[in-house]
Amino acid sequence: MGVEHLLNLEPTDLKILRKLAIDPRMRQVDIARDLGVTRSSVNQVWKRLANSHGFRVNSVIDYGQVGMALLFGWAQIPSTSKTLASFRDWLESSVFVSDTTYSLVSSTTYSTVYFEAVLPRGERVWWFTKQLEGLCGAHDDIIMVHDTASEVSHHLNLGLFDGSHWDFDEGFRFQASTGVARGYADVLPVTNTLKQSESGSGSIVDMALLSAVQQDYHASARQVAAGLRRLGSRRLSERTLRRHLEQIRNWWAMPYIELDNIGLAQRVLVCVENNPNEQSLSRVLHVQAGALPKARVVSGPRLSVLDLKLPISSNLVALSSSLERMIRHTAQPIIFIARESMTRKALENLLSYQAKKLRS
Amino acid sequence: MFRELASGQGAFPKISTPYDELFPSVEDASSRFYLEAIRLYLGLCAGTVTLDDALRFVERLKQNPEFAKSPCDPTLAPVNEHFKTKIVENLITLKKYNLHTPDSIKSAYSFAFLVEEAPMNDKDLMVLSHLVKFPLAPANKVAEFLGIAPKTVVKSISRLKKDHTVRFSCLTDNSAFGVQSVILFFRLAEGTEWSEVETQLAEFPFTKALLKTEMSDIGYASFMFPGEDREISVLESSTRKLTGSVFDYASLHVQEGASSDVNLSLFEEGAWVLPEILNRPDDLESAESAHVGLHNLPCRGRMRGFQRKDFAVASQLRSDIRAAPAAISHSLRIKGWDIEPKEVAYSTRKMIDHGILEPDVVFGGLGLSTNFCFEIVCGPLWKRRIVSLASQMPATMSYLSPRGVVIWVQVPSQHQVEYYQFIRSLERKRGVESVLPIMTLAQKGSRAMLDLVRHWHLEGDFWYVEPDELNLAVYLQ
Repeated sequence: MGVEHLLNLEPTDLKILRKLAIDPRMRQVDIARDLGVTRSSVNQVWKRLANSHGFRVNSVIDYGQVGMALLFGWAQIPSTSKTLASFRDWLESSVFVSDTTYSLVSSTTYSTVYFEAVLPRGERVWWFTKQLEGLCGAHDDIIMVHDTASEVSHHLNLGLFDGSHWDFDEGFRFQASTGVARGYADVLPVTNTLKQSESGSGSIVDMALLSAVQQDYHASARQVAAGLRRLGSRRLSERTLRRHLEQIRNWWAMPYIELDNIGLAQRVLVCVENNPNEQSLSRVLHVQAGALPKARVVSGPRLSVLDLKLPISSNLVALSSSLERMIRHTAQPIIFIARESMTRKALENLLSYQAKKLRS
Repeated sequence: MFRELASGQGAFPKISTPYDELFPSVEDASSRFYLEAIRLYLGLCAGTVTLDDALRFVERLKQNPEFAKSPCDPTLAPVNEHFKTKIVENLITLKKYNLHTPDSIKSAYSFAFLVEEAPMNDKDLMVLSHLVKFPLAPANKVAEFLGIAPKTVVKSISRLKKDHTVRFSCLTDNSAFGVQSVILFFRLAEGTEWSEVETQLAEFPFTKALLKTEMSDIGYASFMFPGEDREISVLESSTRKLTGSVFDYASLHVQEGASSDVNLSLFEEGAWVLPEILNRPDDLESAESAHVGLHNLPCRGRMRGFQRKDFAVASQLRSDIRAAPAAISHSLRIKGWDIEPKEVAYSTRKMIDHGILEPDVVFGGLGLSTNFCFEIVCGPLWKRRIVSLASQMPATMSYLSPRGVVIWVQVPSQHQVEYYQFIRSLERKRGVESVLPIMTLAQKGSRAMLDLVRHWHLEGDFWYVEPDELNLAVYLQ
């Protein structure tokens, strides 16, 4: 399994983290004011958590604003097929693929390979999907589906964590509340979700800024300027950069906190083909994911994926049973324990590729 | 504490519980089935129903068609605070969300009985370690062997049953009675609705257990019926007819043996360790390192001198093989079998001596929270190797057939990937045709052997069924 460990969190750490989990936009000074403590004490905890738990504030970004699309999908390939290895290798070597993983444990005879790719909209997407289809399409026993993401959400529910132990119900209570949520899907408040635009066409500078915010929501103009210099881009004043960054933070990015070593060592993927006659399912997934320890949901018009990080002791079959009851009548979900990602690239990689291409 | 209530199936006694106001009012028989099972369990906890009355009540529950799909017998569940609290919490959740569907009520019942970890003290572990090898060892012998007081052993056994769902059961060679056990492993054809197939399989009079999880389209059904090759071939040919329409894969295993293993040597200082074999998979193919299972029972065919009464005793002993003959006799009387305690004791001894019963221990907890079932289609050599492998895993139950092995494996969740991948990788071995996995919540219960008898016909001293009755296609088309 992954390299995730459990390093206990102190009550002070949790106080700060829970504030941030609710509003990741908060800066140290805001937290200090809210908690009635000094900024330096918040800064101390912040730095300690960065060292011990890889604490950072990342962002979900709107790729559409810079003319990109987030493509995602999965292939079900017989475990004994030679195509399985070649498909995985191709995905892992592709510059456009931002994440790929595959099933370690599932209740089927197939291995499922999941992928996400960030591509310039238009011809590149067409080329990429043709490549995917070429690799899988020649075989009758391989099923491959893909879609373009229209919404992405991130959830970390620290209310379920006491610093050393996760207490959540993946069984009956989760099933019951999810069943009820399904009935009120249209009016449920959706939080932590960012829509992907379909019509932007940003410059390489916008891409660089977006990339910086993706990796650090609070990235400073100075850091961004250094990054732009490395790309050989034109010089912009720090003031201009600050203005751009502010705009990106406000409109093109949604922050979330990332923490490692909190005992979430099991990655579980739930892949669902949406029923075209029922659009409420992805909405319920975005909402109910918040009831679980850590989740990311990507959804498009045809597909949805729920990417979960759970404690190793959680009961996958109980959770599957609950999810299946929510999804059933709409689609047959594919649920599996996934390998920690071999490839998890931010926009930065693509940016270097684009910059090189422009230079040549 | 009983009062008569009208129900869909005639007068049905209603049990009072301290939680009556939490029970939703429902109309359909399926929902009522699970609610009555919940009521019965809470009645047992509150003492408003005696065990005898509860056993009679269960006999009535068995008449509900839902029982074949989900054989809920609350009298087999340990009466303890943990399960009671869970079930009351689930009733509160049903009420809070106003949930009345059969699905949600079924979940309220089944999720309440998921075994959760309770710490096991050293003495209980010592006693359990001894009993898994010698399930029938009397308390004083266990005490003598372990150097502790007999009273401590008795208390340990009681705690093991109550807090760790330990059950003293047995493997049975039903072929000795001319009874066949068969498992049908299947994958549903595209477009086939499991709920429909499940209902149809439940109506088939010989269905003993059904399992299909939500995570996949693979499942199995097990059957039991009196008969020989002729009866089996009718079932086989009807299954073939269903392949392509109801199933896209169907694989029939006629039992030729069983084994059951618990390997507590892997439980070191409160934690499970991986067995050596997982690091040295090639050892599996070396004859020298072959392990012998803890409890093995081959099916040896019809044996003279074993009667219907012995079959009834064997069926009852599966619930608790350590129970006193008087208790077995009493339980059988409630089910309509008049067998004196002396006869029970004689029959039990005779069946053990002739290798028809093999006592074993079944338990949940102790960190073994992940359950897999695999169908492994393989040749005879690999069957022996898999039985050897099973004995090196934490807890397993194997069912052997001419086609291969169906194996249920209980492992700790932190090792589930290693065990799963190891067993799946057998598919790449020469001599192994396929390995199909199912992840399950727990080894699901099944109808008791005696519950199936009511569908069999009596001729002379034993049962029979007409071969045509085994035509599964009549039920599934």
